[in-house]
Amino acid sequence: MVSRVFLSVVVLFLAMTGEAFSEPKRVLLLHSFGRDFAPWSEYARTFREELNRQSSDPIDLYEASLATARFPDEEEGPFVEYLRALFTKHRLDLVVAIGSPAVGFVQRHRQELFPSTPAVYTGVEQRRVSYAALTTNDAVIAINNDFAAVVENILQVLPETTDIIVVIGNSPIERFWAEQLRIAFRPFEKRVTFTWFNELSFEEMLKRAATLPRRSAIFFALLSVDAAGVPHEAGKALDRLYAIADVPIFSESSVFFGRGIVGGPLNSISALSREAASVSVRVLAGETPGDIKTAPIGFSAPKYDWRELQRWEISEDRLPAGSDVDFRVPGIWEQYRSQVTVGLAVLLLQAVAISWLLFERSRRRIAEEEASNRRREVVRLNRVVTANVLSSSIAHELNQPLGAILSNTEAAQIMLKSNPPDLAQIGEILGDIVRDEQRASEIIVGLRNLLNNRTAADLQHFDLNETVQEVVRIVTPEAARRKILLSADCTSDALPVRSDPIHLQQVIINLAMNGMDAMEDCKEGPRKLEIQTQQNAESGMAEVAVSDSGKGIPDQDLTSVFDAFFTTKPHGTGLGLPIARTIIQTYGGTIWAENRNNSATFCFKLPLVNPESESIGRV
Amino acid sequence: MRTIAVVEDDPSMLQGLFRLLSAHGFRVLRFSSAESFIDSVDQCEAACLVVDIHLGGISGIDLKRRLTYSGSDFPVIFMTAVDNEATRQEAIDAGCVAYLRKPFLANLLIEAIDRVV
Repeated sequence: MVSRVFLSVVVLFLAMTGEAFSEPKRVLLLHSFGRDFAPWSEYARTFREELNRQSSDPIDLYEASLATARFPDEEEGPFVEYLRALFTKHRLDLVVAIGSPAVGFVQRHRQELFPSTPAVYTGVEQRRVSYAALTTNDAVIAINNDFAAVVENILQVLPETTDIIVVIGNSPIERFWAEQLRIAFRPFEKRVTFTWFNELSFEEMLKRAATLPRRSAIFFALLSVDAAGVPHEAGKALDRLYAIADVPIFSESSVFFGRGIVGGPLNSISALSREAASVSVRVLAGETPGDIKTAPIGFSAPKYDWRELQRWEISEDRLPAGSDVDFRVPGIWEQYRSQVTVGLAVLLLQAVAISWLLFERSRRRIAEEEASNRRREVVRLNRVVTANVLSSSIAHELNQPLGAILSNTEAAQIMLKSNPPDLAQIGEILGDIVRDEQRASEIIVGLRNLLNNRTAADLQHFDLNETVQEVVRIVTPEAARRKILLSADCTSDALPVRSDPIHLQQVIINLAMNGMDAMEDCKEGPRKLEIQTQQNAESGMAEVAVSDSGKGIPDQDLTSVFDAFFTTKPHGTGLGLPIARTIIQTYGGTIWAENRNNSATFCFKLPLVNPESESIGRV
Repeated sequence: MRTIAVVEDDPSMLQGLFRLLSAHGFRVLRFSSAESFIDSVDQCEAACLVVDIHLGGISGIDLKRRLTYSGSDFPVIFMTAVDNEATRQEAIDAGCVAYLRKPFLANLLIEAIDRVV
């Protein structure tokens, strides 16, 4: 509110000072067809802006339009009267005529209307000015349209053009220009066919424009009044033509640039109006108009509409040197360069990261596979070592039935020779042979299992008690050889576990052999090795404990005994317990050592499984 | 009839040897341990002792040593299912007619027995 009051005061003050120091300059702007008729409307608009900008005096601007240009049959008299009535009391400082009809009007009625008022003629082509009729009170700022250059431009950017359609109206000024165009176009008639629309109504023109052959181009010269006598605002007419025609449209007027014309050399409205305003200011300042001579303003540097170039597939290489291209629609790249760059960079980084992760993943899988293979191999080697240690016991076990078989067989051979042979006895012998043979086979199968490499396919559901019994069978001869009392105390509860039974057998054999080794140096007292199993229903675990009657393990070593290469034996590998731990952990169990009654006990527990459930482990 | 004593803790092997030697016309005394043989050594009329080295209690070699120590000079044939250099040397040192690795062919045993009986 305060600021508005302040602003009003300032405006008022400025108005008062302006009033006090200089009278406003009264300027009449005379339009040819109307205030809003292109292209003159554009001259007028830019002229007004330029005049206000350049003049230090306030301008009191009057505008009037020459109706007779639109309606050729109209009498000029009433309009002359109107102007006279308007400006007898208010003396004019300057008359500015825009467009040749207005220029002609001022020249004709100068004496009766504004005998002493200086006049500026602009918005007019030099050919429309009768220089001979100029007085010292007149200044002309004209343009010079080089129509040949327009056709040259069409043929330069679209060399395959065969037809040029000239759109022009039928008012006196348009008839004049049609004639000028014919003269200018004559040199091109061998190369292109010119079709003239000047005798058509605009509706007719649109109809024909819709069905133009390929390789045609429209030259939109001027459309003020069509052959049917209908006045048109050229800008709107061009819009309708553009909407309907499927051929490129050219014009020399910069007014239409951006409204659908392809472009080329264009007359420069801004240069013209700037010049006209400058001359007007000088005249208002007191200079004699007749002394101010300006050369007609020609085309400015060629200018093209990028959108039209794209539409008609005109390569920018075809454009004359020094051309400007406007209305460029930036591509995604130009418009969002940084975003696109960042996006691409992110994508690239992601791709790199993904490939790297994939690479790492496959490397990891290979490494895991390799580690798994190694582990399996070490585990197997441990079994081989164990088997080696057990070999004399195994040999004993195997040779026993083989010896019996051989003796029995040879006894039977002798019996068969006697007469009559004791068949009942021989039958008995054969029965014994079969039994011993099976015994030997079992040992061999057990040994083969122990030495074979194992795979995940060997995972089974089984009762841990059975494994303990199996171990007892394998180790018993060895225990006997070492004079160790081996006993197994198995729970009557089932201990269903899921793993490779040979692996668990290996673990228990390792623990049993360790226990027996631990008692090697014990002289006093009975040497006992006890294997116990029990079910811990609460934790869902099967527990196995292997206890010896040795000297026990120093407390600080209870954990480190499971470390690789920890060994107290001169010929030990130090791998038995780590391997046992690896196996147990693989199947989801834990293994530990403790001292009970000053002797060592090794325990492990494994999860009890429902035979239907699946839990996969690999060694 | 020649009498042979067999000390063997493996029942199957013991049975086989019994049949084999019987088929060859020997009278066979069977013992499943060194201890049981020692118990009846005074009444034993055996001309030869076939003994397994790896017995549950007193080993075959210890049995031979004990016999030697008590002044008995039973000819002894050792059998073993576990063959290694140390055992073989030990057996030879203890004194034996033959050292047989199980499984062995009957004629090896018979030849050894024939040498002493």
